Amino acid sequence: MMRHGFRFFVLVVILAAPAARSVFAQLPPNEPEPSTTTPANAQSIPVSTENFADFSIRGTAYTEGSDQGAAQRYRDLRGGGTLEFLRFAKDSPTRWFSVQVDHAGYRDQRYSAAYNDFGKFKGWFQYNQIPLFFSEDTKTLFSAEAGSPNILRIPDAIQAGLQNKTLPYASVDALATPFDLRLKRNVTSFSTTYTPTRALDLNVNFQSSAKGGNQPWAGTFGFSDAVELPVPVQTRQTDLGVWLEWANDRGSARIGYDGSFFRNEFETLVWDNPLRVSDSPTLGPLQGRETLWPDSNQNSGNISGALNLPARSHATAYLSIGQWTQDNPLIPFTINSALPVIPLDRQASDANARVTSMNYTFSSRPTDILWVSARYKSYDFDNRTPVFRVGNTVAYDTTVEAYVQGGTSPYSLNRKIFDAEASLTPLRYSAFRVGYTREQVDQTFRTFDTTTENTVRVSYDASGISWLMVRAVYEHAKRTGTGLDEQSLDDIGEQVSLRQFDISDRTANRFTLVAQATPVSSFSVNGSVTAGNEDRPGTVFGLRSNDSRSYTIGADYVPRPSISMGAEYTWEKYTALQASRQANPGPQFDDPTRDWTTDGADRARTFVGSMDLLKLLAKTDLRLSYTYSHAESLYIYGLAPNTTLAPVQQLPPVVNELQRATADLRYRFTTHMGAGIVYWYDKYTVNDFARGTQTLTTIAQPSFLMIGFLARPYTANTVSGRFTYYW
Amino acid sequence: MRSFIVIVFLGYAASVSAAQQLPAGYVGDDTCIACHDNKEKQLSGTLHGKAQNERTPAARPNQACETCHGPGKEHAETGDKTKIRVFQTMKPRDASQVCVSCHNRSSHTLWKGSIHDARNLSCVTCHSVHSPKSEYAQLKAATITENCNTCHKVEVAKLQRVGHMPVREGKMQCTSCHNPHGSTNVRLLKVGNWVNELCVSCHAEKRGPFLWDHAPVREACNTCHDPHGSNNDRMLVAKLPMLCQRCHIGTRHPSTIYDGGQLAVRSNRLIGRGCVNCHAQIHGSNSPAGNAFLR
Repeated sequence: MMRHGFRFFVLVVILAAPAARSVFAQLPPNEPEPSTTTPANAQSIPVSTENFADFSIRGTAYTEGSDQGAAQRYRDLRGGGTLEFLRFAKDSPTRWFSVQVDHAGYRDQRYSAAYNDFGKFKGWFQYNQIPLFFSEDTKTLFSAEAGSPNILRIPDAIQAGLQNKTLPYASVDALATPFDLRLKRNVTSFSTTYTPTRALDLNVNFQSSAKGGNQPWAGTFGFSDAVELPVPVQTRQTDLGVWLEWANDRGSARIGYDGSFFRNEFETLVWDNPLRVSDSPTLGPLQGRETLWPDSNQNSGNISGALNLPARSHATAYLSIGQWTQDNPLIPFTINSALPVIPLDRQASDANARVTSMNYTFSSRPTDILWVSARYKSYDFDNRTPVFRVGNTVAYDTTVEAYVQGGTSPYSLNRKIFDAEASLTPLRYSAFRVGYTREQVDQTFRTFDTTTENTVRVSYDASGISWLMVRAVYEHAKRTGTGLDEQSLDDIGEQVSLRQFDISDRTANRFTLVAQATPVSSFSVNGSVTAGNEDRPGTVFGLRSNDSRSYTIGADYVPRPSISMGAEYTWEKYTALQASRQANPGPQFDDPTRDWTTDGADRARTFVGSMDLLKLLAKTDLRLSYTYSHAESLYIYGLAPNTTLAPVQQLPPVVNELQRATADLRYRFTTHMGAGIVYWYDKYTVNDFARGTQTLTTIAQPSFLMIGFLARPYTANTVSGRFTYYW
Repeated sequence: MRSFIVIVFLGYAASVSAAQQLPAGYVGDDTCIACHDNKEKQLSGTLHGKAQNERTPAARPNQACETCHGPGKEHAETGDKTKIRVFQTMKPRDASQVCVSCHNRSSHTLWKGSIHDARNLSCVTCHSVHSPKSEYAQLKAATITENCNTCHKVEVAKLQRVGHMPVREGKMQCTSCHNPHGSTNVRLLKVGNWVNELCVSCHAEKRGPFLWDHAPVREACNTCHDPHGSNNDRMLVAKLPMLCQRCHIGTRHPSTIYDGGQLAVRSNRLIGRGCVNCHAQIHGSNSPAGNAFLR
């Protein structure tokens, strides 16, 4: 529901006050879309017909033990004063200009400006910050070497103490240094459209996205020596798009270029081994080294056209040719000086792929009741990276071992999709559709050379009736693979009856029904049902089947223009059955009494409710909302009837529950001034056996030195006082 | 009095002249506004009402209304609502045809034949030219998410999960990834020509190609991630190690049951971030020793 039925109320208001919509009206629909339509922190933006500046003083109180990092995952709830919103637009018959600001001065701030010289030039700029706050109470033994954030060191005394067992491993928790684990994206964007003639546009888009901070990462020296690290992130992605587009009432043509350039300040990570103070050929290294995200380029050119044809027919064609390249210098196999040097097959990665895409569509409506369309799409990811030959490799910077596969597997795939659809509309508001899709994927280095999926579908859509909307679709799909290479599974030590679920043979069914009834203009009710299943008949080991169900019911009620309310409840369930065999190499590998299954089930319940009371009291607007989301995942292990495995102890369910309530009260005491108070209540509870505080009470876990990035609950109460100036 | 007569005469002459320039069956904006004055006011502030842009309806002298609604003479003379285009009562494809006669470029180029076109949606299913509610794009709902929720309820419900992108925080929206008007990609994805090209348009660090690619990553990001949200970290479709064990079952640790007993001993394959406690380079590695995505 999400308050969409609220449109009835708005319609009434609009009809009652048709002249009072200047701000909405001033906002051109064709501007590049802002990254937000709802403001930061998802608070309700004042719905105003005027320009306004919304100043606030806010503060957040957390209950004891709250995870403030999780509470602020993508937002900044710190207290203080700010320009919460600025919405300014100036309109004239020839030009339009706007400025928007959200939460100025904070980590989730946003600034944008747009200019439109109607029919001649459009320009848009935005600076947007997106925080990602992982945790405020992570801690680690590691600290960055001076001037080298990508070299993480542990004091030698701790390493020596752990190596010599003079320092108890369990005691390192007390020696760790707390730090905030957070990332932030700073995104600067601009776009322009220059229109020299009625038919021609020249468009330029540019975006630079810088990401900085730290994120959880892994370094390992073996099964009993895993290390979690705060990897430094300092990257920049620069995107440029330029295209020239011509269009008139007969068709259109376009030629364009897109480039994307990724640069990483730190392309390797070096970190100390907490358990070793010196390199050893048998006991492990002093330190480890791994690569981080390499610099890469993506360039493509594209050309497309569309043509209107007789009999209400329309055809389009699109061709894109691009190249992805990545040629970073390769690091040695290991940083462990006690191990022999293994020669590199080449000195740089020399990775590149030619990507060719085509898209052709044809649609026609030869009669009023018949509509047909066809589409052919191909996507060829031709990975031209030479195989990097590897005879011996180094595992964990610890052990030299033979690599029996002999080299890398530069995956390529060529995907071809054909769609055909026909729709009959014998009644004005009803459409019956049948469709067929064939998707064929040729791929390299996979167990199947080719997978082909045939899908048939039927649907019924009734829309345009003021009191009823019904949409229903049923799909049946069957995917089969050819060129099965079971030997490739055997080569990597897998069971040959394993099927990788992304390409395995599969039969799928899916049904969806969505309906909305509006018996009277003040009330509507809506609901939906979905059901789906996927069976993988050829799979013995791996994902065998998965099913889904969901139900939604919602209603909107607008008894008076000043009162509107709505609610929606969604229930979902997803199940998956997968199979495996617990085995060591040797006789166990073929022993069916060691088979086991995982029966997974995800259940989720979501409730969204809202009520708006606008001018019910003089000059006063009150908006209330509440959101509840409860999701539970359970994994049940099953054993073969004649099992020789030990009895299993089932894992507890993983439960995440979020609640959010908001109240937004505004009072307009003069034409130009208003005041208000906004309250947000956020509560998160979690029970996660893998990352919960019930399980993990120290960073020094057996065989695993963590950074303490845990799943913890929070309760946050935020109050914001507002002063708004309108003009 | 003489001046008044001159003005009236000139006005009449001008209106006759304008009417004479109109195609047959057209009556001109003045006639429309005589009854529908509120529509004119609503339109004048939107891009449709900016006559300077010669692509807009308003650029046609005295034909702003009839450019979209069609010739109105019969309707004006009889008051019969069936004698004029009323978009809410038209067949959806008829309604869309009017809009795409101008909106035939940029993000609208591929509307015809798109999945929304196939499902008999029209432009006015989501947009309102005269009575928009949204801050952007003249939508019937206040936000894009609300608009999409009319049909895509499960996807919108997933946005409330613990593992989510910053949609509910207002930093993204449905149209950050989707172009509802049609695209060269699948599932109306806005950028690129395959699922991964959309994802790496923001997550470029994962695009490679790497020295060691991971096959399902190259296949499609949504093999392992549900971009709308999930009950798992990083929007994974299942928890680790269970997700990885859907493909990796060979011997030793990938084939092990990570049950309560393993939890009791705090197995480093089960606690924390599961398999990626060690296999950090799961999206691809550029190290010569990266065959197992450990380096």
